[in-house]
Amino acid sequence: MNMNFKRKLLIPMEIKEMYPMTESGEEAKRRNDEEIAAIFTGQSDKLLLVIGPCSADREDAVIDYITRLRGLQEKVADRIVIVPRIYTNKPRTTGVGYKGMLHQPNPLSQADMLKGLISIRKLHMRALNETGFSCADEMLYPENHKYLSDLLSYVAVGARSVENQQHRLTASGLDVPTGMKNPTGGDLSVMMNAIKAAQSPHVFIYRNWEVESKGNPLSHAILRGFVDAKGVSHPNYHYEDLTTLVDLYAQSELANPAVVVDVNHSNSGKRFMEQVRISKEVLHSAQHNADIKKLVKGLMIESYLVDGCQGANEGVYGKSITDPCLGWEKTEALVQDLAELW
Amino acid sequence: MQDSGSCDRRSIRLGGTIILIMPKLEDIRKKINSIDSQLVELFEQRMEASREVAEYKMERGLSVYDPQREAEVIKRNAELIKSDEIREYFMRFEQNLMDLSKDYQYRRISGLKVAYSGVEGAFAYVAARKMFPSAKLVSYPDFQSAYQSCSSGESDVVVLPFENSYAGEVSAVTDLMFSGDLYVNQVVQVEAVQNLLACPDAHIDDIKAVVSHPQALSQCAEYIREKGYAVHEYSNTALAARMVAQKGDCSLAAIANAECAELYGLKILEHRINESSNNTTRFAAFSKVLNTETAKRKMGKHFILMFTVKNEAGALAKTLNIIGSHNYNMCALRSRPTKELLWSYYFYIELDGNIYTEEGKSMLRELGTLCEKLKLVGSF
Repeated sequence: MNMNFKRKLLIPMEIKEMYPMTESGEEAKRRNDEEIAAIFTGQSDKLLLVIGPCSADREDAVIDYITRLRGLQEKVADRIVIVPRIYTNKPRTTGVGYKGMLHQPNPLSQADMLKGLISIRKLHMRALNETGFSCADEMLYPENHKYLSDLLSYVAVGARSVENQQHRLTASGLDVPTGMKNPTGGDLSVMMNAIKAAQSPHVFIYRNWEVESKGNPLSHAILRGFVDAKGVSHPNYHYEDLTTLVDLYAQSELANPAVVVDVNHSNSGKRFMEQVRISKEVLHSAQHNADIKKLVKGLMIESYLVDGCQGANEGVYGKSITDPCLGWEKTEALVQDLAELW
Repeated sequence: MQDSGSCDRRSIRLGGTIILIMPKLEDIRKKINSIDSQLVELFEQRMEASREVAEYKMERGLSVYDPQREAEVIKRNAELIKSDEIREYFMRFEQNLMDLSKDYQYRRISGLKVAYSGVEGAFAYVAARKMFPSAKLVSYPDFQSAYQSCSSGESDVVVLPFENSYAGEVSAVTDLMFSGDLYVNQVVQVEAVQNLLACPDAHIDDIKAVVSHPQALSQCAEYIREKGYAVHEYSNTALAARMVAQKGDCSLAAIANAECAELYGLKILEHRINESSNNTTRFAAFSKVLNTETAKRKMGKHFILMFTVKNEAGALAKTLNIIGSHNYNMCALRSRPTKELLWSYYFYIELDGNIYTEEGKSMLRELGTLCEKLKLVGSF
């Protein structure tokens, strides 16, 4: 092994002691969890929007953004439940580039994992305490979930991770809705298998412990489009794709059939403006088909304060330093439109 | 004609030409009187504010004189003066004002009781005088009793040495910092300059023997050897000076600081006879209130943390990693036995920078849960 074991990091319990949940935070999280779970179990017919920047690059802009979401949420509360995205770790196709706040609390500085672990908890904590939102994050490293386990209300397993055993087993031990994305190649059976694994109980090793999970009935599908062997992006949010998924769920014995459509990534070909059209089209498909309406629980939208994206060193406040996002004005208009359409 | 309120010059139109007439002296004087009456009011308010500063500083054991702040204020205010010609006078006015304000503060603070350990003229005395020129200095026989006097309210401030550039920490004072309830808000450095002191009538060629504390003697060993003086050890440099003065023996000289010459009526036969020029001791002013006001200066700020960690592998490393993650530079790390429990130790850390920032607050919060006991001893 050529790894240099640099230093032992703090365990989740230690960082949780440093930044413990407040009573009001706990109460807000419980309320959010109930409301979101009700959507997946079919008790609520509201639309779930997992929305926010591609990556949470800086605390001030992210908190600013989420504070605005709070105002927006109040306006559309009877139709829509918002879960802000605070994505603190980013998978990189070749492993190069900004890997998220967990690795680089300062995007322009060297990796500092200790500072990163503390920073991501502080950020999620601030969001909850200041806006009442318990947020969504990607579970890129299953072992790290425990640093945020009391703060997250939604977890996504990414397209590159969905086939991984440890991700599936860990998802089976979570109590919050966990979305399994279709893999980058688009094979839906991989995603369905991941959901099955996540909904089943398991015994496995987690953080050096032998653990037993109960299975997560709120685990569900996320369609994010795919890339073919020639590197061309293909969408999978269309009417036909959704009916295919209805069928796949029908053949399975999975609990709570559900899909959240990721309207960016390969569905938009990363043309962030298309998110507006795609979101509306998914809702349109749902209006046409009762099975689709039942299956579609929400949308995943990449949005931030400023349209588009920039290099990490360009420093525009509230502009994505990873994938391009929809700016605030367009986001606000879209969310209000979606509330009308749903 | 304009109304008299805004009238600087009067003009009379005479056959198409305008003749300016200078205002009457009486009018100008009236104007000055009116300005002065405003100044009176403002001056009173300013001195009142100055008194409040003195009270704040007394409570926290801070010095009256802060040259850096003084220069900053004068510069800032001078920039507000529009006329280049007047600016120079304003700076002198402002300096005078500052001096008056300091005089007033010194007078207010003269009631301050500052405890120190040792006798008059000792380095602790020099340090206390340096920090509190107008205060009443009270001598105590040892560190413990001096510290205790402040804890119990008998004195307002206690000045104690806590580190020497040669000998390192003053362990007894470090222990008091850890176990006691006082805070450090000010630190000064006093260089140990040793001089040859003798009776006023003595001549340098008459000196046959020197007397002083062994440490001072060793600092001047080369000088003594060169001169071939006989050496007598004494318990204290200041007491040695007093003894020389009392004896009136012109062949005997004391080795002590310059303050002692003045205190005991001796004359300095030779200045700076110690070899090394960097024997410096750091003295801290302890008081009951921690000063949480952040000084404007960005550089040269420090703070002291003391803590104990859980007795397990990597416990100290964890705390140091937290400090590192907040980008504070550590300039000293020492460990001392806690004395409560056999073989258990506490740590003393001195760091560069300002603790009263977001970073600092986060760091204290994080260390607070990692450490068994954590104390912010001082910020200066």
